[in-house]
Amino acid sequence: MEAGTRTAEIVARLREHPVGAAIKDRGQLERALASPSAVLFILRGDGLELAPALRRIHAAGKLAAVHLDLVEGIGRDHVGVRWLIRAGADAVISSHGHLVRTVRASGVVAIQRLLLSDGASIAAGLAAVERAEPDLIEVLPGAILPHVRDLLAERVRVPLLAGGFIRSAADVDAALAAGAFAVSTSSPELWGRR
Amino acid sequence: MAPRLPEVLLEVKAGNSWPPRGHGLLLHHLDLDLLVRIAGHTEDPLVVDLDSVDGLSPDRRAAAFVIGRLGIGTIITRHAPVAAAAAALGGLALFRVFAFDSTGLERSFAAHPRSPGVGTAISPGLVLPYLAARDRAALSGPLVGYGLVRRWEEVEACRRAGADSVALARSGPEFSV
Repeated sequence: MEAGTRTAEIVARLREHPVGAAIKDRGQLERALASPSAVLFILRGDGLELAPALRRIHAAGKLAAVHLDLVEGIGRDHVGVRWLIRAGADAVISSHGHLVRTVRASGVVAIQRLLLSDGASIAAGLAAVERAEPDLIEVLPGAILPHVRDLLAERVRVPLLAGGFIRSAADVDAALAAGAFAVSTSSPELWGRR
Repeated sequence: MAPRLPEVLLEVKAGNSWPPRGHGLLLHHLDLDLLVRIAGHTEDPLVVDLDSVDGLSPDRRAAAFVIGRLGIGTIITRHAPVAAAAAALGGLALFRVFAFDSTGLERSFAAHPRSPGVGTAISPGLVLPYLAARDRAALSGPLVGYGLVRRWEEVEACRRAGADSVALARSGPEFSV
């Protein structure tokens, strides 16, 4: 499948179910598999042994985005990217532009994290995004997106995810109203929200 | 004795106009020469983000210079040994904790030295009202919200969320004091 087609599919799934499930442990994986969430974001775990979990996610009709920077055991390099793709990741997330470019070149969806800590970090992060050209951007902490949307508006040209400290339905609605097309959260009670 | 923090710190970086007198200032993203000039020309309480000063290495000697030579009582750093060293020198150190999501907060705060004289600068400051109460309660005080706070109502929200002090960025017409 072409990268553009994969991106379109993950975007379509998230538009239909705009709350993605952020997974940190096996218990959350089980709950997410039984939830309406269509896209699961794998934030922790043994990156070298993800293949069985990714097969279960696919068997449940869902897609999986794996965070290259956070899972353990995997090198933050092109070999690590290749390993995750072979294991079945539909999307790979990283804060590092050179890895995002590697993911894109590998034909899976590349999600670049844009970390919002201060004005300088936003400027540097946006410059890195422009160099890496990800398929999607995930801004963190997503809960503050409504406060800083004006700082991003002119320079973000790909669909925007919001993740981090989204803990209530009001947080979900505020992030979507501020321009995110979907959110990720580790709060299971929000996973079914449309 | 470690200095007291003002409730609001106006952020000052290279290129900003000189802020009005009578406010605490948080100096960041400037060079060492400008830092020395500002320190010599104001009586207002100063805080320095040590990691962002061009010309300074964020280490113990830099902390000693800022506290001992420049007389700046409070530093912010993400380097735990430097924070501990600054506190041992009698300054107030604010260990910078990045809160992008709950996992990141947990990892970042795990490096906090948790020693006397070392508080917490949480970035972005804007996130404070969105933290779970137990996460806020776990942060070592004094607690400063630092980063992306641009409006007075955001300052107030951070204060209500438990911040002892909040850094206010001063760019844009609505930030006049």
